[in-house]
Amino acid sequence: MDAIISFFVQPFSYAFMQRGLIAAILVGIVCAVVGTFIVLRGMAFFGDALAHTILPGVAVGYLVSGGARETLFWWALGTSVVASLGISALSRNSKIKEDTAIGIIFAGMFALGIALISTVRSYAVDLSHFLFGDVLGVTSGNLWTIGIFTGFILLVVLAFYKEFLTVSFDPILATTLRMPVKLINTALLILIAITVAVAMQTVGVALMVAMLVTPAATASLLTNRLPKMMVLASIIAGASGLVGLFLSYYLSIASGAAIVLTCTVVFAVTWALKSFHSSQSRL
Amino acid sequence: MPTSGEVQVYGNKPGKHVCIAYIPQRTQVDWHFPVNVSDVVMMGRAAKMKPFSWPSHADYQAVNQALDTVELRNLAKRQISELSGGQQQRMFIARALAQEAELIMMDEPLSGLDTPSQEGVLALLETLHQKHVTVMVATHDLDQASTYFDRILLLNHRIIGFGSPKEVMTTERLLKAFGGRLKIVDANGDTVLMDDNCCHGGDD
Repeated sequence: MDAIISFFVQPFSYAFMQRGLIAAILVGIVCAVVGTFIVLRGMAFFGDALAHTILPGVAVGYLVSGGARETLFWWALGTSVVASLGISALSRNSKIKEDTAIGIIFAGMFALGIALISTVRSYAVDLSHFLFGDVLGVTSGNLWTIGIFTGFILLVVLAFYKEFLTVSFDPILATTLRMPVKLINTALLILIAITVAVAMQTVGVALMVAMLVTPAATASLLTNRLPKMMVLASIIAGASGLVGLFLSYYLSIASGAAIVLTCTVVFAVTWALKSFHSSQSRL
Repeated sequence: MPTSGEVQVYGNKPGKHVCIAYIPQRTQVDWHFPVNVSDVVMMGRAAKMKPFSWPSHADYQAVNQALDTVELRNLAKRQISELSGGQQQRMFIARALAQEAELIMMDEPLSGLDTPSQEGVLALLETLHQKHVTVMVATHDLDQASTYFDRILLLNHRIIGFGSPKEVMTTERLLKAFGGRLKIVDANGDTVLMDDNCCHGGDD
């Protein structure tokens, strides 16, 4: 019995594991809630692109501060807000199709980020932290930032729930009801941008789209109500953070990858059970 | 031909009134969106609610009343993809009622519905009429237009006729509206008009 308890408790006797766990759960929840809108509105590619686009901003912050990590969040936040508004403006006004425009900006910015980081000698290690996350390197200062912005995002979603819902489901109705549709859409883009900055350290830019869409997509298989979908997605993402950290600790695998893989397995199992169930009920 | 202008609704200038409801074509809706019938009808209340607020008791009452009017109260908790075509149409009419609309605009509301569903929707439009709600319907069905509606606006890029079905539905006007597509057949002294609307382009 003691062995079982210590199996579960022991990893979290380390302070960095505790901080990592809190960060993984908070980031999981905020990604899941915002990700629900990303899934419903078909914005997965936009979310993926936005995550990659912040790399040059993070790289500049990294070079300016001489390798210190504390200020990187603010660089990530600034870049992602500017990039989200830039991408949406460009894809709206351009003759080029939206996904093509996103693809061009996203790859170009990502390459710029890699080029900037490659000027530093310890480039391989640092780059992998930005790309795949470093949840075990979260400081208590980082944790405060993550907590405050997670709270802010959840409050905004709660306060403007009916606006986000109406604009996502039926923009024409929202217009006839004289809702500020453009403003609401912009607010949603900014929420996604903040989420990307908050999640950067935990899962990294390359894996972030998984946190944004996989738990929300899993929840969409399980319920037909939006509030339930948000709660379920949050639970799935938070639990995946916990399980992922266990796997990371005992199997010595990268923590960001372990969390994302757990989300993916949960999705795959849910999808398989769901398909099996519906093929059964059709017989 | 004028290309811009101003529309007044019940004497109100643009931007004044939230009394118009638009009912989308069924193909424009994401039916797998995670909302049930009552959620969709509640969206009509969004303009009546204050910012930062959640639905009040009065809002729920308005939703239930609207659902009673369209006879969907028993399906309030259904996911919207589980509705039949006629029920989907009635749900959007309930949303317009919850919005307290005085003018409802519908784009081909009967297309793709079977006859009983069409009759259900038409009966509902009659109920709306009695509740002093004006309904504007775009349709290609000449027979339904003249049977069920008080006034007809015949359009082909410009207004060809506006008035009661008797005034508007003359052979001459219909020929003008439908051009070569309309076949006129003389059957035992009665004139029969046939609209060949199977394969026209998207310009109307």
